[in-house]
Amino acid sequence: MKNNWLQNNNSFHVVLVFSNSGDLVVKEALFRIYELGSKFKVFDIHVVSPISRPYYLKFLREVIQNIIAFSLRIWYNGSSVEDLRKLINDLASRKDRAIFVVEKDMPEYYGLIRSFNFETIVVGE
Amino acid sequence: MSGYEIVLTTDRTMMSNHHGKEFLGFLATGPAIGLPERLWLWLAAPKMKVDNEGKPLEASYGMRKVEAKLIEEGFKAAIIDPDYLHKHLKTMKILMLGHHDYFAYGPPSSEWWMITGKEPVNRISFKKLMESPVVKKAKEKGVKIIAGGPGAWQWLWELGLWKKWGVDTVIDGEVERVIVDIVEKALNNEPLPDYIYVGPHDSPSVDEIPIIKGASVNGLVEIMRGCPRGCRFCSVTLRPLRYIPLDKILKEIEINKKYGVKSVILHSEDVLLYGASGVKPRPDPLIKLHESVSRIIDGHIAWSHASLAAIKYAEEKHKLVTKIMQDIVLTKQEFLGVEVGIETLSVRLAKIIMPAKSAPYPPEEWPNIVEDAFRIMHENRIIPAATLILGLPQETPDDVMETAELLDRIKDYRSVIVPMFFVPMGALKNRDWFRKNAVKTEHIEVMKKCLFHTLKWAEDIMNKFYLKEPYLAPVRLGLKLFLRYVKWKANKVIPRLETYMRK
Repeated sequence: MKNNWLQNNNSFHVVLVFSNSGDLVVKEALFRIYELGSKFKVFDIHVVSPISRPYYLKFLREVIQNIIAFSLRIWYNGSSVEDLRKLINDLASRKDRAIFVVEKDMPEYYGLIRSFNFETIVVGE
Repeated sequence: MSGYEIVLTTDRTMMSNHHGKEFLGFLATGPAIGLPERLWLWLAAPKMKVDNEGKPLEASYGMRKVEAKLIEEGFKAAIIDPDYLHKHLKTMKILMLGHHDYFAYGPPSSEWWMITGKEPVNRISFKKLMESPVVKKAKEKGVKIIAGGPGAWQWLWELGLWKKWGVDTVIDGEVERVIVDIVEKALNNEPLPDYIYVGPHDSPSVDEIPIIKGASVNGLVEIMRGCPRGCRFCSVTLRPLRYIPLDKILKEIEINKKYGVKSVILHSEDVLLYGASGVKPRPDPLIKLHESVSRIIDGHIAWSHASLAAIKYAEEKHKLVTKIMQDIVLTKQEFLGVEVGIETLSVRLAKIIMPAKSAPYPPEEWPNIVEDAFRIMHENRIIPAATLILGLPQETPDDVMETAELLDRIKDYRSVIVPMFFVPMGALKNRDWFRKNAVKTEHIEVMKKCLFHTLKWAEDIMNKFYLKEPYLAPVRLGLKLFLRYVKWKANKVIPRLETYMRK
């Protein structure tokens, strides 16, 4: 039976925005995923970062190895503010449920997110 | 020949039936020791017979499941031997890779690597596949590379090679429910996630698990998925427990027979829990399973894994091991092989790391369970390959010494005992750190006992049970030479090592 698993709209989207090190952002995301685990069984994790594909995954190891009770789909969405805007527009147009976790040294990025109605956590603020 | 658009493959160490003796496959987890690498590779993983398209006669069971799912959904997909990928270069759009241990980070490969300082053969072989001209050409023409299997997680520690080889997506977990969508998106050039972990909620139901279309390595067939023990650290136990219906098991055995594979490996995390009531084995499903399988095969039956607690319970409560072995299995074969896990003989550590492993008995009983289960197996000609884990978090020297002392209680029972190190991933980057900080004097004591136990019984097993077929004479000779070399080397190295450790 064919399905559309990758577009499963029962998932929750977690968008991580970080520059040189994703450690703090990822720790916060891990905590939030645990919290949301009672409601969602699939998480889409999007990364916006200058650390390119696949090297950004170095920071996601902890999430992948700890979250064994839910499905994870990890996407790289580019590095620029424009890349982030495109992602936000996509999520908004599909009415996806999402949370954004952003490094505090990236005001341009969280400024953009806050102009939409998504929950935003600025790490280190 | 029209060619395949989806090609599933792996390197030689996985694309082999290991001379019909899956245990020999473990040689590929180490570097070549005392023998030239080519000879070592031939001992561990000889080439498979293939058809004119390069499709192997036998292939890894996990890859067979993916292949079956894709064929059922109408894709032109096939498992292809790594030496014949060139035959499908024109038609190939997706190259799917499967492996248990891509980069030798799993046990016991990582342990061999740490101890010898040499790259294990499985890692070398996989790198050779990925660096081969045909894989490079495939990537140049835009073929998507999707990697999966039990070793998928290892890619997270090889991001440089991931980039270099142009891997598009890595998938970890049971994929039957999700793979069709991923493949469709890949064929349509739609974006794919870089990494996918398929959680328990997306595990396939029994009905979604397809029947294999070609033979599996040494006739392995799955009888159940999941495990009821409930250990909190283990992802297998989070997945739903599914018993594969007997008719489906028998259909897969018939497929294997059709391709000339005469024997069966019943695969489960714990074979004796097939149809069980929780962790308590039940006679009816197990006897029916073994009788039905035995009736239709010409070769022998093996078990992939069994737990020591289930062996003890089944025998003490129902005389079940004796019934299965004496009345069914041993009427057609001389022994049955299985992998079991001792992990530790320290009650304190067992309570911390595996409180449910002894169930339905309390963890305090663990050393007695191990001894009783080994006795029961010995009396019933079941030959276990047992694992021990050294260097576990929270392990103390007393725990290791307790394990070393209690190993004496099972010294008279025919078995192979393989100590494995719990190796933190960071340690893999620095072998000197491992040697200086991880290996303690008491570990040497356990390793020494395991080595001499295994050498003693390996000789007995080879003389009485294993590799007796005439066509396996060269393999037998190679292994005997290897065992002799190991004994000679151990007698030389161990005293030096003990002196070094005391300093």
